[in-house]
Amino acid sequence: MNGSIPDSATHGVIAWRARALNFLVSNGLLVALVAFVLAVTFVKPAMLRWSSLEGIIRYSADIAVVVFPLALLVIAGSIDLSIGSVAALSAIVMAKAAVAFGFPSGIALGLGVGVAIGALNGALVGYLKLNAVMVTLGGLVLWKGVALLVTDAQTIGAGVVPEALMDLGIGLQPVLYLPVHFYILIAVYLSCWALAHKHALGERLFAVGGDERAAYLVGINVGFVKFIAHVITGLGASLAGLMMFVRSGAVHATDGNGLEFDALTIVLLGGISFQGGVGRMRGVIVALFFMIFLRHSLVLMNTPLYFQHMASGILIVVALYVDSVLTRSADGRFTPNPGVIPSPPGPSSGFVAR
Amino acid sequence: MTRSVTPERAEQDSADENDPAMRDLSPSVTARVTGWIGGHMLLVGLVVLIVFFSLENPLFLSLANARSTLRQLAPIAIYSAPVALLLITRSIDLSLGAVVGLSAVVGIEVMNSAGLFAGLMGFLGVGLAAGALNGWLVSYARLNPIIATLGTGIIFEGLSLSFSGGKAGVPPALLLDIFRYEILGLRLEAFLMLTSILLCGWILHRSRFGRYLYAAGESERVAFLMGVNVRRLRFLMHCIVGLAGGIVAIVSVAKLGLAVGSIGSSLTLAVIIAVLLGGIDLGGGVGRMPGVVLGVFFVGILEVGLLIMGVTEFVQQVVVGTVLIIAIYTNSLRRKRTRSE
Repeated sequence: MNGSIPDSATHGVIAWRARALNFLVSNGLLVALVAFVLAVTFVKPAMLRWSSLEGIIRYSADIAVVVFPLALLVIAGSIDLSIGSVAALSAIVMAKAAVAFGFPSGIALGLGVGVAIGALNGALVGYLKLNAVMVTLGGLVLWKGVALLVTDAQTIGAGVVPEALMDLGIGLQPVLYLPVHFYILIAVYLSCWALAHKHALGERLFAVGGDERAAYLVGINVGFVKFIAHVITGLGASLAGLMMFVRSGAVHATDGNGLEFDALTIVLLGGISFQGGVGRMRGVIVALFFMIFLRHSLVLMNTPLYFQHMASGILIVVALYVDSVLTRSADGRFTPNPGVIPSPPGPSSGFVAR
Repeated sequence: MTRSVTPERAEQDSADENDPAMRDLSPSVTARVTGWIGGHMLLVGLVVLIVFFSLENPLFLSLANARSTLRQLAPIAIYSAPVALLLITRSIDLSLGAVVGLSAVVGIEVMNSAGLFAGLMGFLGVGLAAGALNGWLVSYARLNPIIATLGTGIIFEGLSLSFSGGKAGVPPALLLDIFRYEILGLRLEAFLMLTSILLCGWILHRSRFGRYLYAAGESERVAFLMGVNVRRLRFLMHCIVGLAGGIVAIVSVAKLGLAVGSIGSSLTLAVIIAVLLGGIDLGGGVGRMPGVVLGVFFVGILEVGLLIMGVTEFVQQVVVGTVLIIAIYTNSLRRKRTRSE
């Protein structure tokens, strides 16, 4: 690595540092994950037992189906805080619709709800250029209220899910030796990975997240790109609702509580910057397993419940800190207006003059 | 770090100034026009709200209800004034409710073991410490304030849960008596509310510090060149908001007669909505205190009116979420209008 120092010594140092930081960003978490798993296994050998690993795979699929779409959205420089409520609401619609129209069409309707809410968010953020955090924070409260309202805070849907599907959902019935969750996780990951890194839309997502003004000037339809990213995230959220529903066979309006924090923590931890336009999908999958392993080991080691809750908050602040340090020093690109809300849309063109 | 960032920031801001729509307007005019329109739009909404609720229930327009409404919105008002100042400096705090909960749980423990005065100090100290942590993360560690305070909010919630073990603390009778004592027919919380609004209004519109707040929110670079220590300013504002959280915790505990960790959970959104409705912009540098007062009254009257109509909590959530989105939308409309003038 040190063999090819360019003519300018300082430039070489910077490049070396950037490469080292790059390595840390993409692989540091992997190293941490391995070290962490080994450490926990040393204390609790039960960690690496097959039943435990299977549980981890099953549990991570729930959140995986929404984390990867959310990563796409964050890359595009937007955010969605309402995914937990949307997951619960679409699961409720699934349960209600399944009673009325049968199970498969119930699922379709539930997914439709997720897409519709995603489209609404997308229209508000992409076209009306409202602040994404505030819009989706409003959505978080709004959709949870609707979910509580239509169910009257009761658990519903018991007995709706067909028995065979429940077996798959709980993971009793393996497919090719592995729980079906594993395949779902891989499928969602691969499609989001392909979308981000192999498809033209991915290029546009990065462009819009990196510099909205520049993306606009090269002819990208910024509003549409954000709209699509929100729709995909809405679909992901309702998929998470479906996973939760099929696993437990019933749904309550508070089922998705805290999903947005967990998902955002994973996205951040995975090296996707909230400034937008930065990150790789493979970092997100490592972060996903890191988070799930952490949760799992906290439970295994009998830590109190409030600490398990707090761990998510601590992790998000730490991840944010590491993210800000790395973006500031990795490529000399400084965070615009450090530590500030993303600037509001500018004057006539509707873009921020960065 | 500051020095190395400055030229970078200079570029961004000069791009802003080259924009003809921006150049023609001096900041104070923008602020005043925005404040004026915002204030009046909201005033109409407020009147409509009051007329609607009094048609629904004639008792709504009674003196007794006015007093209970005032008590209901006192915590929101005490909190909203400093939070408005915080938003004007272009930061935000989403851990408002969690700070109140933590302060209540810890403060009541101190109060029951070490006396009233020490207890009050406990309330305020916890609030201040929480605010200082937020301020440090946002202004010195330079984290995105929205996500950072969402995270610290979770941490504070966990802390208050671990501290209380989920049990509610009972405040001493003396504290309840103090808050039951009436002067001119008004309880202590009404005076605290008035103090908070007047003090923050004075800071914002009459003091040099207030001008610094606008400057920091409007353009960090200009503020920096004026010799304003923007980071310290934001840090201070977070501390003040935390301190206000401690006061809100005292008022809420006295009002409820119990200290539980979830005491402030509905407060965060109510305060943010009140401030946004009041014409404060998420982008910073815009807004006036009279607008915020109207926003507070709007939110408070909406809450009480829905309560009187006998609407369930779930419907209230739906209304709150919708009002938040509408508030942001009207803010963005207003911004467009002032910029295109």
